[in-house]
Amino acid sequence: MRILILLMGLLAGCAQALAAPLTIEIIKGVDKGLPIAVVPFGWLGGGNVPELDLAGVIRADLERSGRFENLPVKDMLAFPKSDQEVNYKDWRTLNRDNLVVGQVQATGGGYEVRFQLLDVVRQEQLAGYKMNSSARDLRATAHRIADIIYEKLTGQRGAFATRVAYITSQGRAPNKEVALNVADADGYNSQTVISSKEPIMSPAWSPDGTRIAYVSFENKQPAIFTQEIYTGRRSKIASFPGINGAPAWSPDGRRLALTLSKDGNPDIFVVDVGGGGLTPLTRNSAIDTEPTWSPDGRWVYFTSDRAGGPQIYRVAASGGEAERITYEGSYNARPTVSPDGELLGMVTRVGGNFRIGVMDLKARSVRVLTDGSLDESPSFAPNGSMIIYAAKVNGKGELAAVSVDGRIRQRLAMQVGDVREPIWSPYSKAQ
Amino acid sequence: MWELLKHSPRALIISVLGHLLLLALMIFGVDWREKPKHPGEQVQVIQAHTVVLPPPGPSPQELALLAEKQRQLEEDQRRLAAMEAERQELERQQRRVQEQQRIAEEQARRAERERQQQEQQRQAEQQRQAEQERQRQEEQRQAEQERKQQEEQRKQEEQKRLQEEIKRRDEELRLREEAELKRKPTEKECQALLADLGKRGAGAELSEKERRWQKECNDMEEAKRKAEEEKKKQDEAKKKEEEKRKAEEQRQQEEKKKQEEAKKKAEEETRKKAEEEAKRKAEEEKKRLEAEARKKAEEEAKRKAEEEKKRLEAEAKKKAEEEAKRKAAEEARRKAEQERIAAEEAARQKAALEAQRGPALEAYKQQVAGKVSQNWVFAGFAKGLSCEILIKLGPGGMVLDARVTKGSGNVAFDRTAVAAVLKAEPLPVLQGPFAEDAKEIKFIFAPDK
Repeated sequence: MRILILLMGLLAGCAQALAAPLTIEIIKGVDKGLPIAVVPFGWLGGGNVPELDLAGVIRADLERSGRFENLPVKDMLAFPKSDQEVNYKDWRTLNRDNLVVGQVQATGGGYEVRFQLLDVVRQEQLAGYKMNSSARDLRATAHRIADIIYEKLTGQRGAFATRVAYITSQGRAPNKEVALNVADADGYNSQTVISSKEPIMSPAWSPDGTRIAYVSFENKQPAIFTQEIYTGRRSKIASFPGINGAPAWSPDGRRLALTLSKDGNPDIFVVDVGGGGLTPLTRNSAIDTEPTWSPDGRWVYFTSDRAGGPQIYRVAASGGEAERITYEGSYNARPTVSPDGELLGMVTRVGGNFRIGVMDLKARSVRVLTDGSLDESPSFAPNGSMIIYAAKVNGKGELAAVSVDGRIRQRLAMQVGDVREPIWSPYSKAQ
Repeated sequence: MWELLKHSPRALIISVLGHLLLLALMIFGVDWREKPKHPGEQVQVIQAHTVVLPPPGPSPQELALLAEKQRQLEEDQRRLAAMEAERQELERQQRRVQEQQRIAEEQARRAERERQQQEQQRQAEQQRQAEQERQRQEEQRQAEQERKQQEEQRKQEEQKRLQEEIKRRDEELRLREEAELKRKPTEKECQALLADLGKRGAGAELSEKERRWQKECNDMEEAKRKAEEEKKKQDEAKKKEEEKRKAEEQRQQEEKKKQEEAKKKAEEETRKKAEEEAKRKAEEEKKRLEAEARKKAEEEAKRKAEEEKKRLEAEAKKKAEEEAKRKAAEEARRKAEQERIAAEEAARQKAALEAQRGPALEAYKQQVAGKVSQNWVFAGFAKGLSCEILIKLGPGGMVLDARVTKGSGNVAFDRTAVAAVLKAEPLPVLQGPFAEDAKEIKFIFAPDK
């Protein structure tokens, strides 16, 4: 008996020793951005004080992503320039998880930027870099720092140092000016790639981010061009009779899918970037347009009204039967596939409003992300975390961004005129 | 009833013996019913206390035990005395039984005597009756003989009478012839004459005829008388002869009877003697057997007493040993019981505690989860991520060590989880009996899908 008890006790002890520790499941968090403080970078002198507030740019980038919650500068108790000067208690008191400190020093003709990303809770450095920049590149440097922070704290590559192409139109005919612009992802640093009195439409980034294809009516007839954004050199890809529209780069950057109506009604064709090898992908009596490639290059998604209203279909890039993808609602158009290939962005009509929606391609379920009346032209950020789109605000087109989970929507500032058809660049090969 | 008994003495004896047997059985107290057995009583023997000496400085418990033992001792003594009384009673009963046996034997002897007497009487009676019968038969036979003789005689007489008749007729004829000449008085005339003469008396003058007739009559009478005498003589001789034969017969018969009697008597004697011998022998055998039985019974009783004594002694010894053993066992059992109770109590307390464990831990987990959740900024990470953080909880709810034991694949996500736990410092501390359970905590961060 005693042995039994002893044995049981032993077993119990073993069981206790072997037993899993108390397990607590956390299924809810605070639904807000990561609390962070980006301390204004310290100026170490050595030259002209830079005009740009790097910390401000970084703060805005992080803020815009929707995944961070900044501490206003006025609430800061100290302005450490490096971890040496950091009193973690202060930041802990301010309920910060992370802290960014940095310093800028003028060097011969440029600037040296140092920054450290610190974990306030564990009081350790998560990242620390020293970068050389210039007065002109300080903004880009700030975006790069934001990318590093973003990636460190979200585990996802940042897309702040990318760019956005979009069409603007100003004035009225005959003084109407239409331009294809490229700006930083935050809308700053916009540059005109090409402008025209005639409409410019459907810009599309080449996969390497060095070229943009677009439709120009500059010759009164729509023609498709590709243009290198740094050199401005361009080439005409297609100018068939009828519609030449909606160019889309294949992921390998060697071909373009287009909409042509040279044979009567609009169909999807594939053409080599060099202009040869035109191949029809779809051929029917309905309108097929707005082609876009899946990131793996296997599929071409497009809009067709073959079933009556516009719906999204896909066809194998090598050709074949088209498969209808969307069934929900009476209007689904302008497909775009997320970089990971899992989501299909689109314009979907909800009631009388056109909004941005995403379909989970596996589950085939559609989620509406925006609440505008005429939201159009969705385009995924290269990290897939956000969708940029054009929203009509007071009759005027503006750029807006929404996180793919729909949590954060933000208008991008600093645009002039009516803005349409934004398109997010891929990661630049140069970067 | 008596007749009945008289007629079946054997049954009487059997019934008497049967009753005696029953009586004996009753007296010896043979009881067929199952006697209630009290094994406990069997083992309660006096000597028990002698083995287990009270230890020095007895505790009240032991005092109580001693008192109990004393009580048991007295009880045992009382029981022994009762046993002795019982034994005496048994002896008394034995004696009574012997007495009764003796009386029964006496009665049996008397009954036997009576039976013999009766037998003798019966035999005498039978003899008497036989004698009577025999005499009666003899008489009958004699009467028959007589009757036969008489018949014979009567026949002879008849013949004679017939002869005489014939003679008489011849005579008559002759007489008639003669009478014609000299008629001889007839008998009737003689009788009448004699009667007449008698009437006239002697000396009276008789006529010639009368005289002649008288003479004639007298002659006739004389002849008659002579014939009668002759006949009587003959009869007498015959009778004598007869009597002589009869006497001879009787003698012979008596002789025979005597012989038979003697023989019978001898047989009777022999039988009686044999019977007596048998009876004596039976008696002796019975006595011997009885003596033997008695001796045997005595020996048996003695042996039994001896055995009983031995048994009692052995039992006492055994009991003492058992008592010692029992006490030791009792002690062991008591100790085991105490241990068991203690163990049970411990188990019960443990179970009770265990019952509280679940709820207590659950409440604690909720507390901790609440605080950690409040500190976890789930900043739009891809759904479906989850990680496990193992922490060691120090005094005051400080997190001594927090490490990712199972990453989500997204280091940043894991970091937010660790940060959440660290920011929740000080964590609630589990007080009380289950504190050990919360020395280590595993957090699973898994935002609901």
